[in-house]
Amino acid sequence: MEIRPILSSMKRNPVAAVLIAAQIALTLAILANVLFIVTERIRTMAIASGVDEPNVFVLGNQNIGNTRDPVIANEEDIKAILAIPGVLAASPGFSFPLVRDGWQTAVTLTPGERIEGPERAAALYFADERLLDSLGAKVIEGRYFTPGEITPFKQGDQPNPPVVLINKGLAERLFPGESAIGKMINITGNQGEPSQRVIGVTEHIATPWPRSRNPDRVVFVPHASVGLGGFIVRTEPGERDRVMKVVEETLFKVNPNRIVSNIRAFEEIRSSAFQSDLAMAVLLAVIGISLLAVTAFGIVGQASFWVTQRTKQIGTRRALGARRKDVLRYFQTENALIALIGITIGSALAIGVNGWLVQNFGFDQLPLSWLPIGGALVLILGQLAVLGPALRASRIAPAIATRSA
Amino acid sequence: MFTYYLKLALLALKRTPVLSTLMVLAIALGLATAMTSFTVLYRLSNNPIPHKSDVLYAVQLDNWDPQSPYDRERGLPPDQLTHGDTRRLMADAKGLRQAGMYQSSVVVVPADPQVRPRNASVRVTGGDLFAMFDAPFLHGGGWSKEDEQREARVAVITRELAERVFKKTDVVGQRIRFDDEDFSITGVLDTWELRPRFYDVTNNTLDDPEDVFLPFTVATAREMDINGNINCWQPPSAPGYRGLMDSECIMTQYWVELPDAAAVSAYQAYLDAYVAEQRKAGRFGRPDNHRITPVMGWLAVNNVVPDDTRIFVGVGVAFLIVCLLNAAGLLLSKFLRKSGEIGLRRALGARRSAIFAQHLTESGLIGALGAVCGLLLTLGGLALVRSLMPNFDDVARLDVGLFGMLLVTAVAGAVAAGAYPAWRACRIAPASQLKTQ
Repeated sequence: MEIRPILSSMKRNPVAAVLIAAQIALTLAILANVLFIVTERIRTMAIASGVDEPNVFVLGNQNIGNTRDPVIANEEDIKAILAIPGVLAASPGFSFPLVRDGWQTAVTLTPGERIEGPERAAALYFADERLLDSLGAKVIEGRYFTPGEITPFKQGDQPNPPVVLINKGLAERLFPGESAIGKMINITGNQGEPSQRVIGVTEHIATPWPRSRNPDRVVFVPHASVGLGGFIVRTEPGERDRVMKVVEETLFKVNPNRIVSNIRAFEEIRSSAFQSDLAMAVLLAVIGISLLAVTAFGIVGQASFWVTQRTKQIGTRRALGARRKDVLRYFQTENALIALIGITIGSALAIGVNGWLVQNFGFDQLPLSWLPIGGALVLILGQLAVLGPALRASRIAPAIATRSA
Repeated sequence: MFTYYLKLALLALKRTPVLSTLMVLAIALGLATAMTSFTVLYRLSNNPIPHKSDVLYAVQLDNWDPQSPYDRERGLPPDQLTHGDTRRLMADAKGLRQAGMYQSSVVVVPADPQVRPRNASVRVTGGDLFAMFDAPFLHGGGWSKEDEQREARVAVITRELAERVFKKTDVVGQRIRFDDEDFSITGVLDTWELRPRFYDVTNNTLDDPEDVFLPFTVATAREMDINGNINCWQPPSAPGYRGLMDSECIMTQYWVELPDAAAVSAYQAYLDAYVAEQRKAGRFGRPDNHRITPVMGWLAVNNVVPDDTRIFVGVGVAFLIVCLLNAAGLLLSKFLRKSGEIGLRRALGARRSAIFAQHLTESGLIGALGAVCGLLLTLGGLALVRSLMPNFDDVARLDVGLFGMLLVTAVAGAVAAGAYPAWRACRIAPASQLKTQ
C-alpha cells in the first residue's frame, strides 16, 4: 500500500487530521489511567476478609442503666443468642474485619525499640472463647485460647495479656521463615520488655481498615469485651436472614433496657467499606465508555465527510483501475496513520498524567505494558469506526467521475 | 441579523441531522461529566461559615513522641489536642471566644416507658461554640459560664430531637433524660446547614451537626465516652477514664475566635508561652510546632475534599476537551461540506464577516442545544453519584449558579470550537467554488 499519496493529501488539509489525532491521543491518555484506576479499585474491593461472609452478621448493643453486672449481662446475652436455632457461634465486640472501627497498636520485639511509621502497626481484636469460630476462621499453627485465659475488658482498660494469637500476615512479617509459636512480642505500645507469648497463628484475617497500608496484620488478645459495641454472630448456611430477624426480640426478652442497632449482614459491611471505591470504579467506567463512544463517532463523522468530499477522486481512481479493495484500504491506512500518531503522543501523555497522579495522590506507577494494549484497543476502535464510511467509499461507481461537472 | 443567522443555523442543523445530533450529544456528554464532577468539588469545597471563616482558627499543639514525629511526610503537628491541654486552654481563655470539643453520645430515655430509648449524638463543648459558630437558635440560647463552673446539667438540642421527643420545638426550660440523669434545656437549634462540618474534620465531615450539645465540664464530671478518634503515642500511665484524661493521647478539637491581627499575634505569643511553661513540667519534647489555622486552610490541610473528587474532576475536564475537539472536527467537516453554498453567497455579495458570524451562530446554537441536553445528563450523573455515595446526598445537588456557568461554558466552548471552522468557511473564494459546481 502506497502511503505517500495519503500523506500528501493530509499535508494539504492537516487540521482535520490533527484534530482526530489529538482526540485519539487524549482518549488514550485518559483511558489508560482510568482503566488503571478502575482495575486497582476492583482489586481493593476484592480483598479477602477471612470471614465466613455469607453466614455472618453483626449488631450493635448498648445496655441502659447500671442495674446489671456488665460481665454477667454479657454472658447472658451470648447464651441467649447461642440458643437461637441455627446459630453456630456468637461473640461480643466492636471491632471486626472491614468495619472501620477498632483498636490499632504497634507491635515491638525488643525493649526500647523505635517503630518507624506504619511498619509495625497491627489491629487488635478482642477475643472471647468463640471469636474465631464466630468469624468462621481457623488456627493454622499452635492453639486457640482456653476459656481460663479469657478475661473481661471494659472501657478504659489497657490490653496487656500474657498470651496472644496473631494472624498469618503478622507472623510472616515479624518472624519471616520461622515459626511464631512461643515467641515473645509487646503489644502495649510502651516499648517495654516483650510480655506477650504467641500461642497460635490464624489463617488470613483482615483488619478493620481494608484501605490502610497494612490490611493483613492482626493480634488477638484474650479479652471478652464487655459493654463495648455489640455482637458478631455466625449461623448455619441459609439460616442467617431468619436469625437476623429474631435476634433483637431475643435480646429484649433477656433484658429490655437496651438499644439494639445496626443489624447488618456482612455483605453490607463489605459494601459500605468499599463504597467510595465502587463509586469511583463505576463513574470512571461510565466516563471511559462515553469517551470511547465519542471518539468513535468523531472518527465516523470525519471519515464520512472525507468520503463525500472525495467522491469524485475516488470515482476517478476507480475508473483508472483501482479496485474496491484499494479504496477500502486507502481509508483504513489513512485512519491507522492518524491513530498511530495519536497513540504515540497519547502514550507520552498517559505517562505524564500518571506521573502527576503518582506525585499528588500517591498512585502506583502505570505499568508500561498497558500502553501498547490501550494503543491496540484505540487502533481497533478507529479501524471499526472507519469501516462503515470506507465501505461506502469502496462502493462508489467509477462512472461518478464522468458524471458531474 | 442575528435572528436571520439563527434561522439559517436551524436550517443547517436540519439538513445534516445525524452529524448535528452527534455534535450536540458529544458536547452534552462532555458537559455533563465535567459539571457533575465540578458540582461535587464545588459543594465539598464550600465555605461553611463565609462571614467568619477568617477569624476562626483551629489550634494545634505538638505533644507527640519526642523520638518520632506525628506526621513524617508533611511535618504537621497532631490534628487533635489532649484532654488536659483542652481544659487548660479553655480555662486561660485568651481568645475572644474559644471552645474545646469532642463527639460523644447519650441514650435519650423517653418519659413513656413503652417507647424504646434511642441514641443521640452529642457534641461536648465549651459554651462559646454557639456564638463563635453563629449557631441558629430557634428558642433560648446557650448555657452560661456559671452553668459550666457548677457543672449544671444543661443542654442545647436540635429542633429535630425536640420534635421527636416532645412533639414541639419550644421546650426551653423543660427537662430531658439522658442516660440516668435529667438535663435542663437552655436552647433549641434550628436546622443547621453546616457543610462541611468544619469543626471536626477528624471524624465524619459530611455528617450533620450533632443532636445534643453538652458542657465540657459536665461531660468530664460524668466521664462521657469519646466517640471520635483517640490516638496515643504512649499508653496512659493510669487506668480508666481519669488516666485517659491526663494522658498524652489526643482526642479533642479546639477552636478560637481572633477578630484582628493584634489578637492573632497575642494568641500566638500566648501559645508560645504555654508550650514553654509545659516544657518545664517535662512535656512537649519535640521542637516547637504549635500553630493556628483559619477555617479554609484547615479544610485544605485535612483533605476535606477527597483525592477521588479531584481525580474525577480532572477526568471530567479532560473528557470535555475531547468532546470539544470532536465538535471542532465535525464542525469543520460540516462547514466545508457547504463550500459551494458559501461560495455562491460570497459571489452574491455576502461579506466575509457575515459568513463568519453566521457560522459562529451555528456553532453557538449547537453549544446551546448541547447545554440543554447536558443539563438533563448532569441531573442523571448527580443522581448516579448520590446512589453510589449515600453520604453525598446533600453534596451531589445541582447548583443554580453552576448551571449558569454550564450554559456559558457550553456556548463559549462550542463557539471556540467553531471559530476555526468558521474562519475556514469565510476564507472560501467565491470563484473557485462556483467553477466546480
